[in-house]
Amino acid sequence: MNLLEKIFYRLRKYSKALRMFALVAGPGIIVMVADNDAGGITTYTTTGAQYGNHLLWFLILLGPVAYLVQEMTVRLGAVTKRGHAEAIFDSFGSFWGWFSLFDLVLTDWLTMITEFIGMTAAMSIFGIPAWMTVIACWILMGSMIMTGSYWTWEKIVLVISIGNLIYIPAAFVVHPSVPDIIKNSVIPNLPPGGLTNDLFFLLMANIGTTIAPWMLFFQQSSVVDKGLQEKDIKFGQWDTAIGSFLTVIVAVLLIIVCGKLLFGQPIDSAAQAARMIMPMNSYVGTIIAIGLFDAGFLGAICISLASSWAFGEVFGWAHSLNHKIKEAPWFYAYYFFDLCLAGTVVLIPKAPLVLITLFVQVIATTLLPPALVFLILLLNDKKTMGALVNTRLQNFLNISIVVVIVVLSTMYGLSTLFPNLL
Amino acid sequence: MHNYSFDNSMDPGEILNLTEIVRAQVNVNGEEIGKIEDLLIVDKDKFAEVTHIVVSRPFGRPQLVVPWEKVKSFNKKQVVLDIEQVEGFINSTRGSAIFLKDFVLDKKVLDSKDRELAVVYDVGLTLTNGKLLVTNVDIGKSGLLRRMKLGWLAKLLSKSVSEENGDRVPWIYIEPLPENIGSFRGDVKLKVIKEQLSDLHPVDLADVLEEMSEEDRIAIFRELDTESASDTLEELDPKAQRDLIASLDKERAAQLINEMTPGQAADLLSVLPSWEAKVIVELIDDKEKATKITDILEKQDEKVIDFSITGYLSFPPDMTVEKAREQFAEAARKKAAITYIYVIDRDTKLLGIVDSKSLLLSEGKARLKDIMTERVVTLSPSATLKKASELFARYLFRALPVTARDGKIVGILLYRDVIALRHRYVE
Amino acid sequence: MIRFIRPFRGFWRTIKFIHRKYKKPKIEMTPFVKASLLALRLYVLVLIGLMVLKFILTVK
Repeated sequence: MNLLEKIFYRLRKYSKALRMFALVAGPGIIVMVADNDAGGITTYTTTGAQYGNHLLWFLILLGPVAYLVQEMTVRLGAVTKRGHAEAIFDSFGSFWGWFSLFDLVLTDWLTMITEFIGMTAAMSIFGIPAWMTVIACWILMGSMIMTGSYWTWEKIVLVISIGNLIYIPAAFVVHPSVPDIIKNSVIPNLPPGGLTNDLFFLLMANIGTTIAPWMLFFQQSSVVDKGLQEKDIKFGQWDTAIGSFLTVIVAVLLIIVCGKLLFGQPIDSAAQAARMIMPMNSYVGTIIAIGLFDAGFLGAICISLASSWAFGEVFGWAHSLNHKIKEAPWFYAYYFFDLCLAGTVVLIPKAPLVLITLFVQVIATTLLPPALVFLILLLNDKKTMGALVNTRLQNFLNISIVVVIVVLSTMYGLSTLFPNLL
Repeated sequence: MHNYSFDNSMDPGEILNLTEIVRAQVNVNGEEIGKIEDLLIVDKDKFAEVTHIVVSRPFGRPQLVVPWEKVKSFNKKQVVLDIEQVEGFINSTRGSAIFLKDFVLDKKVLDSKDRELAVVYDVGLTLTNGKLLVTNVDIGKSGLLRRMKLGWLAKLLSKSVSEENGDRVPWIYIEPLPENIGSFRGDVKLKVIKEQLSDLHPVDLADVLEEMSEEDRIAIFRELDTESASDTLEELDPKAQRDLIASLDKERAAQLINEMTPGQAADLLSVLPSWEAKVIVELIDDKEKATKITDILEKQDEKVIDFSITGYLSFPPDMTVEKAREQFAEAARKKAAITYIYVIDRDTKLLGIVDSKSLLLSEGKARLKDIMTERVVTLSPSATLKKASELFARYLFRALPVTARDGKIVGILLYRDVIALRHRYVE
Repeated sequence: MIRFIRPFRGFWRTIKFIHRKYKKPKIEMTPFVKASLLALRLYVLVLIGLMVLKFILTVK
């Protein structure tokens, strides 16, 4: 072959790969971007305001961690063609099945509430009352899944995901110190003051927002709903990798923005951060508020779907976005139920919202280890996975991740329950 | 069974390019439901048959896989399906099906020694008797240019139409597709090596063609260029020859016969009805050859001159062996007989013969006149075939030179034209 | 009253059905799997124990 022919061959191969990627991509990008939900945005703004750029390296490290964990669900879904809930029931029996389902439902409810808190808070910055936001969200979220087509739903959600990237221009507006960012991104270091209870709490919150049980359930179910095959796994992995890259970019840029504008100020929510930034730089303030709403919106859709899918799988309901409402009534009913429940809680006057947010984090983090252990066990089951079981390297990395998270979350659980222990 | 009513506007022998077909719109009950995305094929070694068409639909609706039997009409622009309900054809199971576009197009083409030759720029299909057959792959420069949207350049560069199709390799020369072939795995491998590509074995081809059903045989045969078609035609059995000639138009048949030796041509024509043979002979360009053929056919003469051909190798006596070896390959191309080199002087007088074995074994510095055999067995133009066959039987030569009385060579007579043919002229 | 309960009874039956359907774990019980599941049980028990302890302490 001459040069021209070789070039042609390469180009065709790449463009084909790109086309196939475009067909397969979706679940990974969506789950990873949705991972920066309202709670996540709050965590990042708090991290930035308290510690500036000091913890960037930690966030960057969480990118590959999220990839490694989520990538397993792609393989599991493409090989077994069944969702995560069903996989756990089937493989570990009904005790662990109910446990996981209960775990998922509980954390999902609580997380959904935080999403609605975020959305209403973000919109209140623009003077929109909470009840209006909630009702608008119900209508929007309800109408977008009623198309009866996974494809349409996925395209709409991808557009919403792009909204999450709104933080990227914000970072350029504030002119942060580039050498400082690079230094803190590459060299792991603890901020001045060392490992305090506050810092530990924040690190755990960051882990909790990057790896969450609902993400495992969501990605595996959407991989199945999309109909990915074993041959698509490579593209699914790229999908996940690109998603984890985006999630880290957003997290890092948001921390940089808040580190620059709000350093040293006590912050306990992203909405509060947006309010404080507004007088300094109205563009950035608006961006953070819109981004927060978008994050909550995206998170709410994905989280309620994750439990809808899980219920559908276990209870044997028709559970696919490719079904019309009539064909899968229970699946959609649960989705709406989830939305209404969370929205209503937020509208209750004097509901203990801050307490709920904290409670969510404790529960989510302490219930994470079982989910991860199940995942690793499932991915090592030769009977179902065949040639696609975890490789030795994947096992080494993933088991290390799980062990670290188990240790950290146990410590975290202890220190939250008994603050005087540490 | 289903009744086919294929578009009459389309010439059934026309080569359809896969890259053109995949843009065709698919209609059901007068409504466009999508576009052709791919074709599923069954690789049958000698050719491949399209079994299903894959239809892609807009807005992420699942693809359809429709059996070929449900295709009502088919052409480059539009495909009409005869189905009631679209839903019944949603099929996500892939199994071991081969996707022609996905698995074969843009794959590397390797020769039998695993050297990378080219890329599958296109796949040629032919519509024959209601079946869509994969008959060749395009691995030529013009295919590359066409794919790069430079088709006009390709047309400019190729002087004739036949050249444009010259780089198409018949499917028979492709090894059965590898088991593991997939979107990104597996290459298309040829049964021949690079050097043979321009000269695919007609004998093999004929063997293969004889085993095929008539319609497939005709479809494949249409793909061949004039020279190899002609060679292949010679090698077929009479029944197959007759069927093939009958399926070709007369001009094409005359073209093919023009490529043959008079003996072979007469042999072939003798299997046809005589009026048909006459029509074809009249269409032959080479009038001298036509006369020879007619002579043989009408048995007016059994003289060797009618059977003789001029496609022989000749070198001057002073040429060195080294030089002769260098020029051998070039000179031997397109010659019918290369076993012997005829050493002739400027007046084409035959001085001697060098067989190719001694050419290879002799010392490079030697001259042809030093190594040639001077005692040559020759035939006179008026000698009879009977005489020729006696000489062949005695000396076991592959070919005999025919010389005029003054010793000038007028042609050679091939052993196979006398002995191997089935003609009835040798008693 | 009975009309009100009936759908829940159906629900209860479904739960029981699911419970039976997934009674036996299908995963291959290698030592590694067994050990992991045991560790998980302990982890969950300790977690619940801690929460109960916290509750008792808070109530006191």
